[in-house]
Formats: sequence, C-alpha cells, structure tokens
Amino acid sequence: MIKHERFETNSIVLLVGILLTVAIGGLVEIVPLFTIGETIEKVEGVRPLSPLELAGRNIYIAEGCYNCHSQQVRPFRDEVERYGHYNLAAESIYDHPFQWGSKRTGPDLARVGGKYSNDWQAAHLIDPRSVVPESIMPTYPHLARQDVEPAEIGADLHALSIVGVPYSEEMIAEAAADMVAQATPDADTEALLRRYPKAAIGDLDGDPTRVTKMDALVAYLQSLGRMVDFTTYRPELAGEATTEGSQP
Amino acid sequence: MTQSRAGVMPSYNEQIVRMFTIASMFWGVVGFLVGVVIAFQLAFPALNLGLEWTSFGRLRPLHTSAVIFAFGGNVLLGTSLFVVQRTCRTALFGGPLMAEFLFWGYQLFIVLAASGYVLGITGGTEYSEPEWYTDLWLTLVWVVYLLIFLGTLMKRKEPHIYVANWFYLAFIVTVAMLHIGRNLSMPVSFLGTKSYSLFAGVQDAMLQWWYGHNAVGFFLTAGFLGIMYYFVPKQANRPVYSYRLSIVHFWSLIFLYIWAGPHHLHYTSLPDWTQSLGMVFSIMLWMPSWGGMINGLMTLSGAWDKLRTDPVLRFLVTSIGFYGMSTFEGPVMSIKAVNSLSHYTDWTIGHVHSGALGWVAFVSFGAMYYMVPVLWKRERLYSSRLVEWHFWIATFGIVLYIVSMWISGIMQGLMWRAYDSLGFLQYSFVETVAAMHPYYVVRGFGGVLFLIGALIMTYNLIRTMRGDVRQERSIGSTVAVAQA
Amino acid sequence: MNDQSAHAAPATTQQSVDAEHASGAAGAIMLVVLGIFALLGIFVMAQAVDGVFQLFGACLTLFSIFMLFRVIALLLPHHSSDI
Repeated sequence: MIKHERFETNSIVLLVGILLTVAIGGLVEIVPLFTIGETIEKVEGVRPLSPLELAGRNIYIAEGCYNCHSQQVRPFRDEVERYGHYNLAAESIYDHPFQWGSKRTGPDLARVGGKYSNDWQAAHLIDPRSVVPESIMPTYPHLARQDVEPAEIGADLHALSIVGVPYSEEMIAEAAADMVAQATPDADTEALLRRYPKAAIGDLDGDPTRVTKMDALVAYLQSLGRMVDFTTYRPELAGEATTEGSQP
Repeated sequence: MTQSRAGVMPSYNEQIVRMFTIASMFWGVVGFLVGVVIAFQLAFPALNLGLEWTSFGRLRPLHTSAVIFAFGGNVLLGTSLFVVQRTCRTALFGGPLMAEFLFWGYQLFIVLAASGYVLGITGGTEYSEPEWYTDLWLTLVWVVYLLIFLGTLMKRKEPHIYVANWFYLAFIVTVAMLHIGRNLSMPVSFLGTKSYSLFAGVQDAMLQWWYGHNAVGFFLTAGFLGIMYYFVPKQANRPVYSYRLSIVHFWSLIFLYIWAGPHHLHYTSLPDWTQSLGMVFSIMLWMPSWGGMINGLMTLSGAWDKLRTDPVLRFLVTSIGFYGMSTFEGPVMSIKAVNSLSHYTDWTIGHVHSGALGWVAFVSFGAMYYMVPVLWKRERLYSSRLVEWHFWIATFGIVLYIVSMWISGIMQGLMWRAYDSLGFLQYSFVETVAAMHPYYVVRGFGGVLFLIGALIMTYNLIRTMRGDVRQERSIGSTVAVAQA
Repeated sequence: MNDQSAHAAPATTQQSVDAEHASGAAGAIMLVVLGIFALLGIFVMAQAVDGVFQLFGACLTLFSIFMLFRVIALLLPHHSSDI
C-alpha cells in the first residue's frame, strides 16, 4: 500500500503521479486508431480535394460553418432517409482537420453535394431567406465580392502533402491553373478532371469573369459526399465495417 | 492560517491576484455579452448584421473562448495564485517579474485568439480554434505558469500540499498535455496564419474530443474543484468534510475523465470499441464527480444556518448543486441510446450551460466575492443585498436557459425521427428549425438575466475596491444597522 | 482565517512589498528575452504573408515594449504597486 503522504509532501512525485494517471486513457483510446487496419474501410473513389474545393473548405472553416452544420450521417433510418448513406471513416481520411461537427442548428452537409444546383447554393449563401424563408442562417454576401488567390494555393497543397495527403508534384505545380480552370466556363478541364474526378466545374457563382470565394465554397459543397459510389458499396467487402452498419 | 507564528503577515504577491480578478470581471462581462448576442442571432437572424465579422459562425468561437479561456482562465490563474501562496505560506516563485509576464502574456493570448476568430482565422476544431502561432504563445505562457505554481509548491513552508493545490496542479499539467497534443499542426508558411492539423478524419476526431472533453474535465472541473476546496471551507469556516474522500475522488476523477471523450462521437465512423469504452468510462465518472460534490456539500455540516444570512456562501453551495446535477446528466447523455436522441441538438447546449453557468460561473462569483475584500483590505463587501440580488437574478436566468434548451433539444430530436402514418419522415429540417424559435427567445432572456447579474457583481466589487460600504439592513435581521 | 486588516487601509501594505520586488538577475534575463520578442514582432510585421499575421507581429511588439517598461519599473527600488 503506497502511502498517500508521498504525494502530499513531494510536489515532483505528485506531478509525475498526475501525468502517468492522465496519460493512460488517451494512449489506450488513440494509439490503436493508428495501428488497427480495420479502423478505416477499404473503399474506392476517395480523392484529395481539388485546389478550388480546398480553398472552399478553408472558407467553410474560417466562417465557422462547423458550429451549426455536421458532416456525419449516423446509421439510423431517419438520418439515412433524410441525408443519404451513413458516413464511412474512409470518407474523411484527407480531412485535416475533420469537420464532423457536434451540432445541427442547420442540416447535416455530409451528402449535400449534387443535391442543389450551383445557382441555388450561391443564392442561398448570399441570402438564405430568399430561398428558405424560415432559415436562421447568416448571410454571406461578401463571399461573392472577394476573390481567391490562385497563386497561393500551391503552398496549401504542399503543406497537406507533408501531413500525408497524396498530392503529387504535378498536382502542386498545376494547382493555380487547376483552380482557375475549375471556375471558368469552357476552360480545358480534361487534366483537372483526370486529377480530381467528379469535380464540379463551370461558372459556380454566377460571375464567369472572376474566381471568387463563392466559387470556391460552392465547389466544396458540391464535392461533399459524392466520392464514394454507394450503389456499388458492399460493407462486407470493404473489410470489417466498424460502425454498426446494420443498425436501423 | 495566513497568520504566521511570529504574528507577522507572510509577504504575498497580492498585486497579481488583484489584476487577475479585475481581468476576470472584465472578460466575464464580455463573454456573457457575446453569448447573449449570439443567442438572439439564432432567434432573429437579422442580428448577424450581414457583415462577415459579426456572423454567428465567427462570434460563437469568440463566445466560447471568452467564457472558457478568458473568464474561466483568468479566474483559475488568479485564484490558484491566491490559494497557493496562502496554503504554502510563501510568496510566489519567480517574483513579480514572472507573475506579470504570466498576466500580460495570458491577456495577449486572449487578444490574439479573439481577433483571429473575428477576422476568420481559426483552426476549425471546437475550443481549440486558435491558430498555430497563438498556440505556441500560449504554450510559452503556460510553461511560465507551471514554473510559478510548481516552484511555489516546492518552496512551501507547510509540510503538506493542500488538496486544492492537487487539483490546480492536475489542471495545469493536463491542460498542457491536451493543448500540445491537440494542436500539433503544419503551418502553410511560418510567416502566415494558416496551418493544417497533423491528423485527419477519424484520428483527428478522437484527438479532438480527447482534448475537448478534457477541456471540460480539467479546465472547467479540476481547476474549479481547486477553487471549491479552498473557498468553501474558508467562507463556511469549517474544515473539509473528508480527507480520505478527497484522495479517492481526486485520483479516480483524473484517471477516469481522460477516457470519456468518445461519447461525443457515438454512432459516427469512430470504431465501436472506442465508443463503448468512452460510454463505460463516462458512466463510471459519475461516482468520483459526486464524491467531490459530497465532499463540498458536507463541508457545511454544522454551518447550514449560514446559508440564510450569507449570500456568498449561497453562491458556492448552489454551484456545487449544479455541479452534481450536470455530472449526473452527463453520464446519462453518454449512454448511446440517449445520445442518439440528444446528440446534435440543443440538449447538449443546455447541459453545457448548466455546468458552465451553474457550476463554473457561480463558484467563480463566490470566490471573487470572497477575494476582493481580502485583496483590497476591506472589512466587507460594499453590499450583501446586491449579492443577494445577483444570486436570484442569475439563478432565474439559468433556469430559463436550461429548461428552454431541454424542451427545444428533446423536441427537435423527436421531430427529426418522427414518421407519419404513411411511413415518410414527418418534418422537413427547416420545420424543426422554425419550431425552435420561441425557445431561442426564452434562452436569450435567460442569458440577459445572467448578464445583468454579472453587471451587478461588477458594480458591487468596484465599489468594494474603492472602499465604499453601503448602509443596509443585514440579511436575516429586521433592524437597520449601520456597519463600519 | 482573519487575514484582512479591520479598516479600509491603502491597498499596498509594508509587509507585502518584498513579495513584489524583483531580483536583478531574473530582470536582466527578461529584458533580453523581451528585446528578442520585440525584434521578432517587427520582423513578423515586415515579412508576414497575410494581414492577420502582421497584426500578430504588431501585438507581439507592443506587448514586448510594454513589458520592458514594466520590468524596468519593477526593478527600480521605489516602485509603486498600486493599480
């Protein structure tokens, strides 16, 4: 039996005792997530975000959208019917940081890509109540006024490649051009779509002459939840799905 | 206790505690005010003003950081330096230089974080929103804090380390561990604000709630239990109820808390084993939490009558009551079946505020009402009647807040999963949003009352600092007495 | 328990002064460190790639200069610790 006196009379012993006590829980819960292969299912189609989508994601974060919108559909009947297939861990492997959220003041956005037109998204962001009268979302008219900086996005891709997102040398080198091409009508997007399949292209914000923050955010929203093809997804083949896949 | 044997008062660094107390008052009012603004933004979206700097998404992190790190942080730093000097009977290690660096360095951290949020600079994970350069700055400031606190413990003139200091030390050490672990990130440029978390997806989510839940566990619980263990016995003039209980509940609390994070990720893509571990430990956490509550409440044994006449003690005791309530509600909400309803709804917001307003803020108010007359060498507070007013107005505000969020949260959770007779989802999402409106208005008024209470306290404390004494009937008596 | 004087005395008492008096060696180290912070802040202001980082540099410089004055004030023998 250790005498508690030891801890009460020696501040260093107390300090070390506290550190050891609080380290255990985190180690047991966090470390295995990196080492157990079944944590992340093996699925096809998940790709890094295109430069324009990445800029959009950074705007999503900067505006604090995560405070009111989740990106995580749970395996319940009502959620799957309302939003779409429940989320897989594999879908957010390139999300630095994750944006699953904790509150649905507004609806979940994990599968919002392709649900609404580009025009609807732009109009909704400029004034949500023009398309959804009961909405309590703030207005974001400044997004349509401010341009993104294509020259700077390569550095972001490079930083993400350091932390493990598979952006190739080519993707980083072409980042600025890809960014402009994705938001410009009638641009040559063959190389872009080869690098970033299914990316939403064209005039996304209703202003074809500029590449605005609105272009970027709409491109990001349209990319959400569309990378994995769930018509062909079989949980039993994707390795052991770790969530309760059959939960009603 | 602070009277040394020779009868000479040991020389303490009081100046720094006075500064932290004033900062706590200031940031408290700021944090509550922003909270009221964003509460009404959800009821009346026009209050977002259509400006990028004042939208809910940017102000909400400002509110959470202002109340947790600015108000709560200044209270914790101030009270811990107050308590550690008195219970060790020695002045602060490092002298006034390190103490002043700690104070102004911490205020700079707050300013850097807050200006970043409003200008759209955020890491994008709740409660650890400051970007990498602000995180680095806080790390430096925190190391100075640890040095001051630990150094003071080491040069103490008492043989034993008092129980309040165990909790303060656990708070300082664990917050350092969490802060560094959560904020490991890769700056895009060392001359720019943007960085990307080292971790992604499921691992980043686990790391986030390991951090996020223990910001509650160690910032808002362990640290404030340190406050309870000094100020409740002091104000009640009674010894701590059970020494053995404090040992058992201290070690079990800090051991169990760390495991509870995954209950924020029930039914997500986090593996099931981690979710279940988080749930089991969250339920077990109920026991050491109530151990602390019992130890705090029973300290009043034989002094319960003081509750009638001492509104400061009433703040402290009510805070322990709210602590007991929210540490019971928490384990209930961590049960997966309950969580499937409560998660993503206002129930969580209500739960947080019963802890934050009822426990954290009330125990802070009690400690500040105790400290100000001591620090400014006043015989008593300017007015006990105003403390009484503060108490009842704030308590009523909390009740409005919690009840409206219970109703709106449970209602919204039920509406999301409601089916009509034909087997279709009964409500569109926006119908559930519209149904929240009256509760958001009530919640906003609850917040206004709480803010008014804090303003009354600020007035009372400033008058106390100036040395004013209000002529009033003492509480519990019917005769007007002119005191002092 | 009773660690307060019974009347409204001035905030600073004679007894608490030595707890609020700084030592010279620690002060010298702090002056050097704060000087480096001030220069770092100026460098950040000049080289930053975005406006908020420039603001960070400005805040760091202001903080360091302000703290430099505070340290000097605390090192001087007859400082006042009134608020």
